Amino acid sequence: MVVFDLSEWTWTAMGPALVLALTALALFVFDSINPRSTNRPVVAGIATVGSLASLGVAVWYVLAGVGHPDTGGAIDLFGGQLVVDQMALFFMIVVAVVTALVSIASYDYMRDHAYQAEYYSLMLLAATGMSVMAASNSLVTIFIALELASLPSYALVAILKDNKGSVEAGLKYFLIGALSSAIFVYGISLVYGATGHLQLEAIAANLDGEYNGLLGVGVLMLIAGFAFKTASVPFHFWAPEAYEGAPAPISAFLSSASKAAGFVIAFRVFTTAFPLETMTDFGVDWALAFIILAIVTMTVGNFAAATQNNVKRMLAYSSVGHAGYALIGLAALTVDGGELVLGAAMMHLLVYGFMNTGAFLFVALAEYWGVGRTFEDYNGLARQAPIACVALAIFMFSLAGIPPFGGFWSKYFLFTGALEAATVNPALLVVAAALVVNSALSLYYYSRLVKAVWIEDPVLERETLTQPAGLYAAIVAAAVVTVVILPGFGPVAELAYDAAAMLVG
Amino acid sequence: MNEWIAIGALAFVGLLIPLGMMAVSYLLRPSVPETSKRATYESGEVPTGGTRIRFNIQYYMVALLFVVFDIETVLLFPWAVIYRPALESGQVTLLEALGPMLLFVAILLVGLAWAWRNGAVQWAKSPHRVDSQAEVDRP
Amino acid sequence: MTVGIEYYVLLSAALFCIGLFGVLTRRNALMFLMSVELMLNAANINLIAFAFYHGNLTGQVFALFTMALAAAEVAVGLGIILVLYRNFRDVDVTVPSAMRW
Repeated sequence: MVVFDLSEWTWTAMGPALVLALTALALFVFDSINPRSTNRPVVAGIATVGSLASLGVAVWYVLAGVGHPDTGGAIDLFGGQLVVDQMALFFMIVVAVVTALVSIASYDYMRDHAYQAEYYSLMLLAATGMSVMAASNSLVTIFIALELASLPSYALVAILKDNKGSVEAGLKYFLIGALSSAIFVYGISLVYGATGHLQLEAIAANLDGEYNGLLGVGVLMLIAGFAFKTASVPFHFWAPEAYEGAPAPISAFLSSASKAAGFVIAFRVFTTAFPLETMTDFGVDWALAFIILAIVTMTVGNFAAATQNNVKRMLAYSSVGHAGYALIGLAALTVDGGELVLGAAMMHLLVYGFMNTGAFLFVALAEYWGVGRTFEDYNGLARQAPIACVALAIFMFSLAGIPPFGGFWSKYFLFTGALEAATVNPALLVVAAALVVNSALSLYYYSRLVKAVWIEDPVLERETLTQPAGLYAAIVAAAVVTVVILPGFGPVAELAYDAAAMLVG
Repeated sequence: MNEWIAIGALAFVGLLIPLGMMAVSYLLRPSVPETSKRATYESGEVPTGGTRIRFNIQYYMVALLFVVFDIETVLLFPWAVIYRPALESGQVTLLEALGPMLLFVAILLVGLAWAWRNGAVQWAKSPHRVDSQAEVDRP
Repeated sequence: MTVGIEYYVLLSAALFCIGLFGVLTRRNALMFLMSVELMLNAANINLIAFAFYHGNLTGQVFALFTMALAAAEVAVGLGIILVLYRNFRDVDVTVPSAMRW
């Protein structure tokens, strides 16, 4: 273990986010020195090194026990505006991993694009926002970090300026994003009105039940903001459009990292600022809202995904469905405990970060080859690109939750967690049942894609397919982790449970 | 006595003055209808083209830079309010009080330098401008 | 005499609803953007009124941040609307509809 003393320089606890921010600034400086540079190796290299450095710092902090109860507990920064605890570091790792994978893959995907440095710096700025979201401990910092993550994302979705699909996706993402952030900030203002504070612990300390009406409406509006960021019902309409129209690496980035960041603030706000026992006394039972949201989200996402012919759109709806699974983490919180299911939701988001990013990067590879968008167009790809298709099969089976892969274990823990909570609140039996039914349904459309690439015959003869090094490296790395995370699940699960217990307990 | 009466009186007077002026001029003015009074510019200038012309994109770029940097100034205000009291209280050093704001401005300067180098403030005749000129000329 | 807090909340709620109505009915992307600005400003009214009511400055400072973020959001939004116009020759948000359920 590394001996690590943060007492003098506490702000260095934000290291992972600071590294991302510095990398974005370095890219700006590089682009100022060489405007419109298309020196892809350097630009993509800076972005990759920066995100890997952020990952390294975050992993180092976890190993050194920063924010662990044994080494002094969570680190408060700037009067509690930011807090670095195990959960913050956990999600910083998720964000950094996805950013690294996506920037490696973008090296090939964006090869003909005119704005190289802009693309990567926007991506790193968004990643900075997500990383800060993981540590935000006040509605002020949450809102600022959320916007820092959202604004570059709008531009990234619409970055293919001459592609009508990309522009349409960017417009829809922006319109719904702007609307939901307005609703979110209004919700913040109502919570501030009811309690007089914006820092999460201070809100919890000032819940006196004097303005329950304001508080209830405010909490409802906050849920709307989280639903947008995590692509949950009823603010999920942007997700299929944005993911389908955006460049595929950006779809991977948004559906994995952005979703995880949305969940971390939801976890933190609802466990810290609005403890369930006080809120239930006031008649604001947010767990019930999340039970409904979880069931509706996973059902809508999976049923819509099952009817799609376009692979990218299928993945987009499946991403909505997975948001529903992760919502169980909040739905199954009960007055006494719930760290098990919260930890399971965190693990699911980590595993999802690998398998879903990998799946979208496979779509990026298919777009790079130009093979088309529908299931039929993917027929027989395995004959020409067996390695990538093995990886695809791993991602699909893991997403569906087939036993040997990481996706199974996180879903299994979510299921047992929901069952355990059902002893207190029988409504969770419905949630657990919905989880099983939807997973079974998802197996249908995931295996349909695997069947297309491995069993079906190609409709048309194809040229031989090239093997772009960056995309291949990213896909293989994601696949390896999706498999290897299995033996390594012990420490990861322990970290997630510790983090959840710190938050709930 | 209600304080709102003062506001009501102010509003009343504020409405009365313009309405009164219009009424007086309506009563006093001679009526001389003439077609040249309907022209857009009474100076005799004949307008060319419609009102819905498109502006050069450069105006937009400059306006955008202005809006962003103008609003960033707002963030300096809270800092400026507490800067002197914070230093006089002796609890923070000069570096701690000044450093964060210098960092903030430095980041803004990186952004400005980037925009400058990428031609956001260059007033060049771009292809878009030629394009929009062609659109204006079209009937 | 000061105006009661409930009037400020009513004012901001009215402004929020006007903005929401605009968002739901307007088809012009620029009108949509202005309606969202109304909603953000409704939140600002709330924040400043409550800051006065609670006697702390948190709300006022946060309102400054909201204004700055709204400006940044408009900058990005106008950029997107600009490429929208270039691609579709229109700023009607219902025109781009290639992607459906």
